[in-house]
Amino acid sequence: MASILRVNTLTDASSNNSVPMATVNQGTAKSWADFTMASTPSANDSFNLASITDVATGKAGLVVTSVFANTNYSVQGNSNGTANDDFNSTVGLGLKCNFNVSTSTSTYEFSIYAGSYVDAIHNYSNAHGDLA
Amino acid sequence: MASQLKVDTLTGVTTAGSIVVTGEGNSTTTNLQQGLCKHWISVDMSSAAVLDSFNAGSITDNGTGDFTNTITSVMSNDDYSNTIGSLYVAAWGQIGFFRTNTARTTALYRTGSVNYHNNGNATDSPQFDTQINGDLA
Repeated sequence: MASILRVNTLTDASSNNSVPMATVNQGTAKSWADFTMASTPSANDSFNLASITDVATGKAGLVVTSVFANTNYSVQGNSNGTANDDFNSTVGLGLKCNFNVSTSTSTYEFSIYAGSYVDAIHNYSNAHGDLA
Repeated sequence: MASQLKVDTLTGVTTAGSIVVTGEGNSTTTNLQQGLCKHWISVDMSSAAVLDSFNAGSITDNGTGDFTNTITSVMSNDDYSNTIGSLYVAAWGQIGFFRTNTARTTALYRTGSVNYHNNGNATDSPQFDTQINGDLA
């Protein structure tokens, strides 16, 4: 039977490792994705991700299902390849991975730049913050 | 009323690996298991030492700026989100990345550290941090 447990603090049976529910909420990632920009952008695996939009070459919009309460959420990530499958071929170009979360509680933009914007094959991101 | 739940293991009722948590704004929910970080490790590449870690097995020093990290409780597939932070040392222009010349698996991944301002030469980062979000087996 499904049930709801209302509790303020979780702790192990020995009363160690106590954690407030606020920490559980704040500390868990609200969305993550392993995705590719090649051809049509798509996720290999993800959590709380509705879709990926192809904004432009080297720019993908990641749309979350359960939206954030505000635009002040924290996104981090990286990419290990650009047009090729091996990062080593792009090191000299200075791969830059950037995010833009300033405009939407439901979408953040992920961009890869290596001299010019390029569709990267391996991209990993996660987002922490307050859900609506 | 304030309350405290003493328990060693949390398991979902409908689905063992799925527990719903109400979001901070009280109008949406998130999934506890999906949101938990499954692995993190901080490595000093210079001394090949693990500074601290969670759910991490051994590390292998493959060469300068080239390490293999293993995961103790393995992932269910290799489609996990793997993110990096590499300590910036003045004038180094440190960049961390994941190597694809050794395919990552559910139990290991290979990292790399280079010096951007020196034509991308391999460099040992004094603090190379990685974490994984994804599905445990």
